[in-house]
Amino acid sequence: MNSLADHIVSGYDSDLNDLTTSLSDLGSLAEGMVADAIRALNRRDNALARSVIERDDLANSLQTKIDNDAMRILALRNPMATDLRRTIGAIRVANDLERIGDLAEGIAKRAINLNHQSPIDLTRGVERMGRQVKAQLSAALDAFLRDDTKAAVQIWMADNDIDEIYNAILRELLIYMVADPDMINASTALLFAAKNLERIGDLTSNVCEVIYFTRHGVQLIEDDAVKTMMRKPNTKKSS
Amino acid sequence: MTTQDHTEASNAHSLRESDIVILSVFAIIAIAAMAIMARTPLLVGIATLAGFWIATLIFIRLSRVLRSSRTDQPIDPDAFLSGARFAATLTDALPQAIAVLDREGRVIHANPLARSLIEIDTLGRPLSVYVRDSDISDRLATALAGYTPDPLMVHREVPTESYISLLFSAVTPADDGSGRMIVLVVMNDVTELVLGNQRRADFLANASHELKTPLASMLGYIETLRGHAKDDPDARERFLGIMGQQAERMQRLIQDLLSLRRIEQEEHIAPTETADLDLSVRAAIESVAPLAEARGITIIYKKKKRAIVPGHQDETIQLCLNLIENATKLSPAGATVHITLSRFEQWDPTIPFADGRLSKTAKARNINPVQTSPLPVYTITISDSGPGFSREHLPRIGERFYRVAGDLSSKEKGTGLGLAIVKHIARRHRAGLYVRSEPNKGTEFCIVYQESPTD
Repeated sequence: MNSLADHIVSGYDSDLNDLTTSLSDLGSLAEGMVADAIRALNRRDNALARSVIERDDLANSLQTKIDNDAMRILALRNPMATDLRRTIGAIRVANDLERIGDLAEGIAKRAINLNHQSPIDLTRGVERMGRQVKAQLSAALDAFLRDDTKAAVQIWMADNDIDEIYNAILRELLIYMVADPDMINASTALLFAAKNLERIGDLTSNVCEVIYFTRHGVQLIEDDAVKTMMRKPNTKKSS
Repeated sequence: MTTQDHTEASNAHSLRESDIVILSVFAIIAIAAMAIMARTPLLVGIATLAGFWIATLIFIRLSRVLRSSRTDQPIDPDAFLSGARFAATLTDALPQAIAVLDREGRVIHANPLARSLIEIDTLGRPLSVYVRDSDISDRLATALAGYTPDPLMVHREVPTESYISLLFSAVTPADDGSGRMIVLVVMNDVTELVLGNQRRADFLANASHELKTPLASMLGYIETLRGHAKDDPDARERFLGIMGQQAERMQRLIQDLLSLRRIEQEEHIAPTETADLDLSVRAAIESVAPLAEARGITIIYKKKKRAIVPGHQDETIQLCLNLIENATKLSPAGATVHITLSRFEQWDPTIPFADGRLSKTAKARNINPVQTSPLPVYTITISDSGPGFSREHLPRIGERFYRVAGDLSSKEKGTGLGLAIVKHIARRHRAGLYVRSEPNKGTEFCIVYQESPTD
């Protein structure tokens, strides 16, 4: 357990801390929007879906606030090294989180649309995918706030799983649509919801890339673990 | 870390600044003296300029002092606690997770329970780094304004799903003298309370749904035995046999549901005891031996002595048992099941299936991600040569009651809970779980455990 070294100018520290706090707030807002959008889809809850749509304005204003704060830090404090990368990273993550909020809003709109139609079995598959995406997002936000680059690499690599689930859902939905043309409306709405979830997964990997870059100053794709995974399984084994 | 470099650079900078002030004062005195003595207009001009220069420096200094007294200086944790060390020691002894925040929401003290509950590793960072909720700043402001905010429930998903309730209350420490407020945060793990009800409902729904089918079939046979099969001894024997099987299946199902529920309940608490993986694998192989013998299946185990990991011994046995039993049931008669226990010095993502037997192109899925750790890891790889399954099933493996259609004859059909139990045990033990499969080639599971730190 060590305490953090402060900057000599205490205003600088409190600026950086405020930035972290705002990002944490925006993160939890985006997380909540994703979770509630999926719940609204699953429970056919129009009120919940509408509350997700309303929260999007708050997400936008938080993003603007973070942008302004970060720009003020850049202009007034001339941050160096990690502080510079952290400030730039804050702008990028805020942007990604705001996009995640938009996508969650999109899912909520589809949910309202779906609720006008008869229930469809495949909602469960999308919900399961949603839970996984939400878990990935939460893990990425935790890693971001704690500067945990190892976790970031793990989450980044797990995005493949999300793509796999998306493909499985896509196949299932296509079979559904072919079998019963009445289902095309509902299936398309679900397809869009699944697509949005897949995009949220991509934005989550963006966040992981920012975490890595902030800490090490090189791109995540350059990481040894990522390279080894891409290249060849290793066989070095200890005794 | 870079923040420290920064501090040093700024320190050097402020030293240079004060040097300049002192040198300038000397210089101006010298110049003024010379100007008075020589009465040269040029020197008088230089002296005036130097005077302005000093005045500017002093003004900058003063404004900085004024500004810093206006904004709240962060409380230096050490300086603060030297006065309140006694109180801090008291919170350390309390059986309750407690953190102390400054006005800005930064954690300046956390007792050991709080540190382990929300994994605080560095003091001086905002509380929202460790627990995320958009209402935290609200509650903090309410507490600082002198009101008692409502408790806040925070939902966390890493490492396992948990709920923590936070209570905020602000105080002004008497011996600090600065009149600055601090905020006490009392934290409680309420996961069991929140999830308990939901899990009870799930349990009932699962149990009644799964018991319905065997019960209906038993009722059917009872009906037949009462009716036209009453006096047919052959049919009676056969029907009683089927009914016995069904009853056994129901019993197995209830056992599995109960153990799943028990593991789920403790999932958010990491195990404190240690287990020996080698022992677990051997115990599991022993239990499967009769089944393997009946089906003519050879189990080859490449072992590693003394693999001590954090975990519950009985649960690691059940984990291995479920996987090995599955492999034994799924392999065609006369086939071989390979089990390998290995140790790796350092975790990296290529480790799962390093001992695998399927081709490298087989699509793998990580069911539980590995918790990153600098410790060495152990892996158990279990390979069967059964029918395997195609990739669309991959995302759903480990889901409760999910069965890959037609994978087993109805006689051998499991409860559909075996892998769900494996998943939950791995999750509780903070172990990684991987699966991959190739149709007609076989399926492989890999479990990754961190080595026990005490070992």
